[in-house]
Amino acid sequence: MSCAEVLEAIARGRLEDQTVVNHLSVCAECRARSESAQILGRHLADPVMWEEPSSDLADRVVAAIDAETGQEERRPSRWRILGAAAALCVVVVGGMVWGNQPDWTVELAPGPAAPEAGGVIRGWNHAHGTRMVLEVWGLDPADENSYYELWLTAPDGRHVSAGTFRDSGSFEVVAGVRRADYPRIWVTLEPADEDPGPTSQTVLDTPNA
Amino acid sequence: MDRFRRGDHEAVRELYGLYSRPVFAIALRSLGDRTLAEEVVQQTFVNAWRAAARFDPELDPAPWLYAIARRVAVDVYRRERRHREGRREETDMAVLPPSFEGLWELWEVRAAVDDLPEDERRVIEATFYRQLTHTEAAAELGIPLGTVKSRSHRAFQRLAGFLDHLGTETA
Repeated sequence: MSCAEVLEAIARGRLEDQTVVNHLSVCAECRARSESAQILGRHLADPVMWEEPSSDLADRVVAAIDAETGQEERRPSRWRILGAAAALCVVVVGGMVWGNQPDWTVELAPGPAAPEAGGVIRGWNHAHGTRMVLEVWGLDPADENSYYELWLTAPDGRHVSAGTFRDSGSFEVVAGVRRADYPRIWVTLEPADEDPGPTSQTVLDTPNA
Repeated sequence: MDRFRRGDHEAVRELYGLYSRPVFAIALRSLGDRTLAEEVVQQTFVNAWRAAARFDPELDPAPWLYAIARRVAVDVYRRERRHREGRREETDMAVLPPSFEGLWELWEVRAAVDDLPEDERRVIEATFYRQLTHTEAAAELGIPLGTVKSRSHRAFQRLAGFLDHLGTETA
């Protein structure tokens, strides 16, 4: 058996075949490569490896990006962190460019972690989710180990993160969910760790949420 | 990448064609549900589009897309878990299930399989996944036994060459 045949045999689960055992006893290179051959074989035998996404998923991806691109072309910069005054201009200009009023507006109440803060969020519903402009004031700038995160929460407790920012200002965000399904909109102060869930440090919240 | 950032349909489909299967594979492995996995695929490409302006086009997009996809899968997993368990907020979500382990390795293998010529991929699928013998695969694929053996050998050599480092890294 050649080295290539031995490695293929190992990948096919024949590690204990006598010819394989004999070869490995005298071939250091194949011994060194036998673990990766076994791992490769396991992956190739895994059904997940051979599943295909639905044939229309590419169209859905293109449509989802299209839905954002149309407005992106008119407003080329997202997640701009601006001063409150400049931010207000952005929102006003944005509204004029879009030529319509927001579909909904929520005035956010200060949370326990930021009693001096305030905010308002305006939303435009579209086919693939919700585009929102969040204005925030009265927040201290987040330090380098933390950031603010905007959440949408459904009545059953499911959360969707709509984006992050570090200071008061105005921010345009897009979430792939419908506002009607996620009535609670709130902002938390998050530590810069690996946990993507919200902490209990609420700085702004939907009144009576 | 610049065309992708502008939302050019052809560029979106090109990137999707190159990476949707690895994204789908790690999402399906981690979440165990096709519908959720497709949600991860869609959101991964949308998030990539949003972040494309910050991506250096000189770099390999695979690790970047992998990081986005894994993050989206984690978010979806935690959302579903909260939903299932009726929790309003989570306090113990730091630990992910074993299905999230080894995802980069899976990504790499899936990408390498996708790079194989179609005829070699079909032989590998038949003999490794469906566990057909070479003789059975020859009958199933309607090609001579010798062709099955040579394609199988060639394909495995390619895969092993790409993936010799498997098991030496953690994902």
